[in-house]
Amino acid sequence: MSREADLAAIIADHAQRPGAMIPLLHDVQAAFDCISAETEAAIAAALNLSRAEVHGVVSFYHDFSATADPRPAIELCRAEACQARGVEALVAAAQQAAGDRVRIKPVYCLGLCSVGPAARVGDDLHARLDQAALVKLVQSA
Amino acid sequence: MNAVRISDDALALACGANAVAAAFEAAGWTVEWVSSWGMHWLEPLVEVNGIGWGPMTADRVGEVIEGRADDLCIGPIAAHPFIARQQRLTFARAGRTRPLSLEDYAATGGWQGLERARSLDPAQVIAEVIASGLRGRGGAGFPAGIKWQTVAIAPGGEKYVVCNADEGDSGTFADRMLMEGDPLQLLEGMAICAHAVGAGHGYIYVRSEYPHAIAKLKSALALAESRLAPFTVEVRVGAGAYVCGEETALLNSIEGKRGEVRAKPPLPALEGLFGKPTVVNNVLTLAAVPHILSPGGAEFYARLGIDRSKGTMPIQLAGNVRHGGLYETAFGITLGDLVGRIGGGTASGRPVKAVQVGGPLGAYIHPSQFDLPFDYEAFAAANALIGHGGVVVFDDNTDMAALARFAFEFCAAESCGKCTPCRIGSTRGAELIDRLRAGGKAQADAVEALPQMHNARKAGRSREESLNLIEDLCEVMQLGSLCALRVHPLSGALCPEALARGFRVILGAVLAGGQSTRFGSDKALATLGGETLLQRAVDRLSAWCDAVVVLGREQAPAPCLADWPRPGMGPLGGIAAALHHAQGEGFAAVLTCGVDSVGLPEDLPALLSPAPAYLADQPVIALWPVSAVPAIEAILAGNGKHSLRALAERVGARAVRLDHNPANINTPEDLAQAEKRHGL
Repeated sequence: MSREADLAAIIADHAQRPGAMIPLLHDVQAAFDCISAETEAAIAAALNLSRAEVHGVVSFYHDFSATADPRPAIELCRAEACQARGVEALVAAAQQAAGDRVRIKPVYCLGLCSVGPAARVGDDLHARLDQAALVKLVQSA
Repeated sequence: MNAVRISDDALALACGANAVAAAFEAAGWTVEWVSSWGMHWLEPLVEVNGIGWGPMTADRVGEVIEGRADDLCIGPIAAHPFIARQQRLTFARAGRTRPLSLEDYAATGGWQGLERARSLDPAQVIAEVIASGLRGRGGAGFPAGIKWQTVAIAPGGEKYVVCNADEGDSGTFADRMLMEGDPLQLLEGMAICAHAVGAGHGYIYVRSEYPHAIAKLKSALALAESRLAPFTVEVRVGAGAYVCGEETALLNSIEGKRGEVRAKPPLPALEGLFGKPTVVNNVLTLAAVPHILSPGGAEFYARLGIDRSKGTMPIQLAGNVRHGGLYETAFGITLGDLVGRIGGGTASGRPVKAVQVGGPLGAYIHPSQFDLPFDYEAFAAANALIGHGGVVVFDDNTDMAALARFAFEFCAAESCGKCTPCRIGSTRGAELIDRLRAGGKAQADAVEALPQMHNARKAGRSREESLNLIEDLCEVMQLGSLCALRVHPLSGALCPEALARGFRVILGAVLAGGQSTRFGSDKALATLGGETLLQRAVDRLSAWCDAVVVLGREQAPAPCLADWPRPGMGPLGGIAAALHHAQGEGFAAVLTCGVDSVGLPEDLPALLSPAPAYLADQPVIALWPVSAVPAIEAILAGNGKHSLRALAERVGARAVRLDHNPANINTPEDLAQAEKRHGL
């Protein structure tokens, strides 16, 4: 199926439900890894909104991005509880192992606050990370 | 057939539960996936006939199968002190049932509350919730029954029940554990609420960082659909905005808008989701309801707790704590008990420096306030916040200034932008702290120096003035923002008094006692480069320390302390006095030097970190943590040698060797040489 057809199908899936925007954007982000200007325009037309309104929502939430990033991503928790367990000391080594190949995204709390430092790769969670374990995680991403 | 129970809670999986389960299956065992007991330091915890082993690794599964691995065995899990001391109502099923088993749920009292509620008049249900004293567990602590009543009597046919599962505070995971471990209880609580207020549809707004909870909730919904009918529930997934944990921002997000905070009034109870009367309650509030609606439940609940904080609170022990996990208990337990007796102190084994309660917008609480009972009003009186019941422990290596900066930074990243004080103040706050940490007098920055910035101060600010300005900023942010989350990065105990205390890491101590026998006259008052040695030492320490005291003199350019326990005990008496003072004032460590220590290296505190450490050739120059107090008291009370080296040995201090030792001035000749060397 073409990209346009995919988008039309996602929009059709959601358009009629109340408060369709966020679930719709989640599906678009999952399908295309981004929500481009053209996509925003198509969503705006379908929901009877201006593109500015759609763009306002897309740019507000951290989960949505305007451009795709094909690199594998590791979300590393940088919130207070993981700081208390020493995550900041691991960041430099992780960045170095990642280079330009892997994206290390900060995330603020994965709910694993008693066993940090914690990271998420897709839907897989990792806890009690030390430098060696984190670097290994980055290398295998 | 042998069976083992392992938790499929996200935390257990993150700690490697899958590999452990696979090893059991490879050995021909049946794995029964259950919820987590909440003893996180033991995860993955495996259970065979009620006996537990943890933390388990795949390579040791064979030993458990053979009944060995005694070092990992904790005996009967239910009798473990961490579990036995708790009073679990909301988490009564934790560790004991399969999360998605209707059979287990019904067998443990499930649906009784809903059945009873539906047999009652809605007004009677509300009366019971009010009588139970249940207050919102999300943070604000608003009485749940009163909120329900407001929605119930609000005009309008269409009403909603919204469950706030946007658990964004660091150090909290009770919502997540409940959604993953006992999702049916949450649905039952929502259905009771719907019956009470007359709502037909409900939403659960879960943060996207919780994929396991989302999956469990969706499965549970499919299983329980007929039980809940005619009430229907939909799971909505957040999109990574912290502020959506605030109820009005959350409603905007469900409606498909930016997660901006709404002004109140109108209250969501009257004009909430899509403009209709809406109950917005936290996961833990709604999950407590089935128990309250069971026969005699409300009365039982109201008997627990203290004052106006009734029932139990699922407290979450997190961060640098030895025994982290979920601890549900009646209100009234003290913070000290939680952190020390139950949490076992820090995981690193170092002294506790502070605990953060109530998430990023809560407060950092100093150990001197550890007698604070867990109670909404007591916390509010201490300018702190129970919030969602997360307790994050930090050890004495923590840089409080960095945490203060993080609070501003986080606020800047997560501000919804609606209120100017939060949107702009958060960034200004981070800048102020950067300048403060850079030390010296904070100069006006490029923007402040612009001629059109009429109100900006052009002259530099002293440390004191910078601290006052931060305090001011915090107050403006707190009082000038709409947000019920009270976006106040340094609120509560951290500000203002403890903010300054938070920065107080090192106390400088000039040891100015001694007889100056070899020097001939009062050495402290001898001058070098036009200044007395005493003044030079005080100034030098001031650059590194948050406050400086002088020992062994009665007059000095800094506050003087008397030696402990009495004068004439040598340098240890001075150090003991400084350590006592540091302990009382909330410092982490004492940096000592002699009055005659000239030419200390620029990076002395770094060289001596982590404490305890001393210069091998001049042990009077040292960094002692306040935890050294008992050791020094014991030495001074004993008959042994009152020497610095004895103290160093006792607390395991590190000896640091330098290439160039600081000058040590014992005679007028030494002083003359120092003048020459320093080009003075």
